[in-house]
Amino acid sequence: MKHMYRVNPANVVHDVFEDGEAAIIDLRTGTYYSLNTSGATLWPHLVDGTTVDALVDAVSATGALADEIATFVVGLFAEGLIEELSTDAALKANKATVTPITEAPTFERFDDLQELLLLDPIHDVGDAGWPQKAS
Amino acid sequence: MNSQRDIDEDDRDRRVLHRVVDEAFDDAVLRVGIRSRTYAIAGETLQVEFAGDSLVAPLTRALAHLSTDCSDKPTATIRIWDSRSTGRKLPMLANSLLRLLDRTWLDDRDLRGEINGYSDGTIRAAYYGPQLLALYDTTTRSGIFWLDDAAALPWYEPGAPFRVILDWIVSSPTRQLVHAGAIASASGGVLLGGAGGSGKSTTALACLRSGIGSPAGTGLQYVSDDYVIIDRTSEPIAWGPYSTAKVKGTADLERFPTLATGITNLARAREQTGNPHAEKPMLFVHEQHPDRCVASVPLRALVFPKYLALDECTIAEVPRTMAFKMLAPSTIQQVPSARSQAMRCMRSLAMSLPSYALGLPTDAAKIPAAIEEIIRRAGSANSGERPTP
Repeated sequence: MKHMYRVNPANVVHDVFEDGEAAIIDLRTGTYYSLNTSGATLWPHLVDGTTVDALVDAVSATGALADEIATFVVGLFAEGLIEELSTDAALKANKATVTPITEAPTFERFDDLQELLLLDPIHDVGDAGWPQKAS
Repeated sequence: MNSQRDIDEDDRDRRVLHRVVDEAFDDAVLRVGIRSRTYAIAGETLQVEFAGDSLVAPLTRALAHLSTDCSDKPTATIRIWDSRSTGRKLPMLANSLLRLLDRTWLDDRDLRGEINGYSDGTIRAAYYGPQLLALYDTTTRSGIFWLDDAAALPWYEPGAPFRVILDWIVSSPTRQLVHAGAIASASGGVLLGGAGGSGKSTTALACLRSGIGSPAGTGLQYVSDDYVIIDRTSEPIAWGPYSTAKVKGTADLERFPTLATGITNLARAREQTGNPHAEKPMLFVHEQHPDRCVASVPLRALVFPKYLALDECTIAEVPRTMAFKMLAPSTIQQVPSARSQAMRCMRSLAMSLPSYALGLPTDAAKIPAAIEEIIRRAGSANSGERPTP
């Protein structure tokens, strides 16, 4: 994939915090997206115009995780969090210096956090964390 | 990549917009006179200047509890005017910009009204509501609030006057206007977070009602039900910039009959019953119960209420990283300038205090005891003690 992407600032507010957690909020829906560590590593480069091919090359000499990275990017695009840059801009060669990742990048969306409260309102959250929806 | 020269030139261009609207305010004042008010807000001494009388009453009632006659030099100013009542048109340059924005809509601003190209740099600008422009110069700390016709002021603006400019004034790595309420007690307070409609106002109103009749400084006191300024400069503090309380339709009026007498827009709100965008009935707590209204409180916990129609309140601890996810989205959606810095400020607050989900019961009279219980538990959590059951 040689496409380049950017965030549409009219729709999305995002940040990567010092502890490595990345947060993305869609202004249209109020939906909160959380990226795992690998996703948070790739995100700043992805929205700075690094192509998916360049990302794969940068994080792994063997091309490992190429499918997972592509799936991650396609998913972000499908959610409307990133948009494709114009062809002219995409013709610029780019090479990124990215911290290697060993796990697949993923994101989790939180549509209605208050709804989670309804699942088990008297639940005391312990080591297992927040109550999860039954799949 | 923009060079420093490009940035300087852009900034100079943006200053022209602020200057022409500011000069037009001076013209308006020459025609109809000036009215000044001073407020102490979150450590700021805010001078608010009005051209004429048209907007004084609607835009000062919510701030009355912060009024001060102190002679300190203002740390920030807001100049407010409308064209219809003053007879001063918006300058051509600004008017052309707004006409363009009316056509291009989201091509040139974000969903919150922030105009593209004015989200950083020295001049901030937002065009929101019908014909309502807000400008702010970060170097002189001077804001301008303009609308075409004072009579067309959106119904929600008197409840949270010029909140966009207020956020520009206070926002810093440690201060941020957030979409949340707050309740105070003698041993500290709680921030009420969550999306609109989750139960923040109901919780705040229930706590306000419970304290009526108590000696001043005792019981639960009202800070805000919708917007607070969080301050992380040292100990976490919530400031209530507005003493407004919004009531959710006739159900809340029945639930809080003692508060209904103070509602300022009841007739108009009732006329619009059934309209999803109807005015919410509002009261100004400071006018009705000045001894139950406090301007700030040190925070002990974050609370996320949710109406569940239960028999009793339920309290569940919320992981701190989850608390941030629950606090941030509605602020980011509602406050035009809220971006990375705002997220970091809110996350810092959420990570520093215990958080609780509060399931709300049918009987709102049971809510205040749950808030007091949360403050007690938070006190134990903050001191590292194990709470007694």
